[in-house]
Amino acid sequence: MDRLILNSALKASSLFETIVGLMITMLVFAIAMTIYVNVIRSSTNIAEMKALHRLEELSRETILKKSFFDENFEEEGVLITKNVGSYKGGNGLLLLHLQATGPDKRNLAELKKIISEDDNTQN
Amino acid sequence: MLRAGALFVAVAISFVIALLISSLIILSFHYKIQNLENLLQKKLERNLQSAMVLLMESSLMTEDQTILDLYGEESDSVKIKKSSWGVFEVANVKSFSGRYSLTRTVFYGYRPNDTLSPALYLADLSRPLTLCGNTRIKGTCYLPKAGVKRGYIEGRGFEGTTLIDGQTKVSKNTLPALDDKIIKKVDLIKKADSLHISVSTTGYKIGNISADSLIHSFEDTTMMVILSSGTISDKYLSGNIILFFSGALVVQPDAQLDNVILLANSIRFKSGFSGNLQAFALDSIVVEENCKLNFPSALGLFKKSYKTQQPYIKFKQGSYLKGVVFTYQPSLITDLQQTLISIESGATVVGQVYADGFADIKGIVKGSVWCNKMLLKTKASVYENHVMNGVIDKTQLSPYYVGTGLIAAGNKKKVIKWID
Repeated sequence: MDRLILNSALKASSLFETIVGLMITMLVFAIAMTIYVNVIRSSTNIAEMKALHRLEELSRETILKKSFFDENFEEEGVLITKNVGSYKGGNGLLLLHLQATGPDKRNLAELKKIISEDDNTQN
Repeated sequence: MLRAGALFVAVAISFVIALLISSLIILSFHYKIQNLENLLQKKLERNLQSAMVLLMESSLMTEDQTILDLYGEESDSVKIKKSSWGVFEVANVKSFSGRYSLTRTVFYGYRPNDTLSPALYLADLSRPLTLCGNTRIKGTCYLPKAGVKRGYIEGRGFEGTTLIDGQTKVSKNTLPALDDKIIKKVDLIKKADSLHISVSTTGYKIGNISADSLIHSFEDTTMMVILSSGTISDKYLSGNIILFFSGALVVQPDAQLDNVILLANSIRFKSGFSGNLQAFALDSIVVEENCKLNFPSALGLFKKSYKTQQPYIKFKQGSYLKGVVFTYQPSLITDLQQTLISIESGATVVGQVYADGFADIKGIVKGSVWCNKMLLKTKASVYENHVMNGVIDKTQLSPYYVGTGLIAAGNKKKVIKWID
């Protein structure tokens, strides 16, 4: 079996140099982890996306079924609030306001839409 | 001598980690921006739909151009610009937020008011309506006090069992008037005499059709094309374009016309033409055999005071139109030179037919007919208030049909079609 023969002297790092190197690595790693966690936290929230999707679905259902009344209900820990009021003083126009609130009372999604009382062709 | 440098290695590792983290941040930023754009797009779409609901509610949209803050939060702005396009109306709706915007253009009209839209409205000029042959009239009819009776022409009596399959009411001696505001907007011919007709080009963008195709958006100013030749052939013309010709205009079957307006002294659609347009003339409009004018199409004829001959709209055998057909005379003319709408045997009109004069119905009308008098021309003679083998069936008109505000319009506006 061939052997690797080192014909020169190998200079080892000093203890100080090693400690500084380790500290720099640790510091950069710590900063990197903080940034990573922040990036993950601030990126698209699946819960928010799901909530908005559900509100859009509810908006369509409200128009199709003409369920023009206020209601609150909870779905998978998310509180959904539906408010239907007249838009700018009537004329058969309604303002549909849907809001989804998470378990931590955080506003997940909100949707506003003007709808007509007597038309189910809108979506 | 090989140097071992822990510091160098640490810096190198840090650099690699920094690179990885930077790319992660950039990736995340990219996704976040994309997500925000997606959310904004959905919000703009919702605001656009809300603006459409507002537009359809006539009481709130009185101005031709309006910018609205939908919810008073200064973050949901929409701009609605509406104008007339022939006998229909067109609106350009834009929702915007910062540099992002979403625009839609829509044709809209009015669903006919059921009580104002009979199968037949025949003005009471003291003559009864006489039906012969295989004539069928279905739906509520407004008829003269003299009523309706069976006739016998060219060896054929009335072949049906009931004369009118529906309720009959007494008509007045004049027709319900066409909407004057729409008539003024549609009648673009400002100068007309027996020698020539002309239009005012003020407020229009002047164009030409030298290229094979011309598409002009409804977001821009209307384009007026003054035609130098009386034939439209082998061209694709679409959108916000008015084509004017001072003489007799012929539309060949290889012309593709989509949403445009034609304006001429007389217009003839050659056999086999198919398109979607509005055409207005002073002298005559002839729709030849097997032409198809798709919804929403409109044909209109304006009788001018200098004109002594009878202006007419004629549908030949196999022709089809879905939309509106009307004639208009500025004052009550009762002589034989009043306007005529003639629907020949085998021709079909789905929608509204308003003859401010005579109507000669030998074909099929799935919808409503208004006329001062019915006219029946045979080889041997001409009969007033006679119908032979004609079909007028209001029940065949879809309840979702959306017509023009010109006649018998209901209160609610409805979308006819989305354009861009």
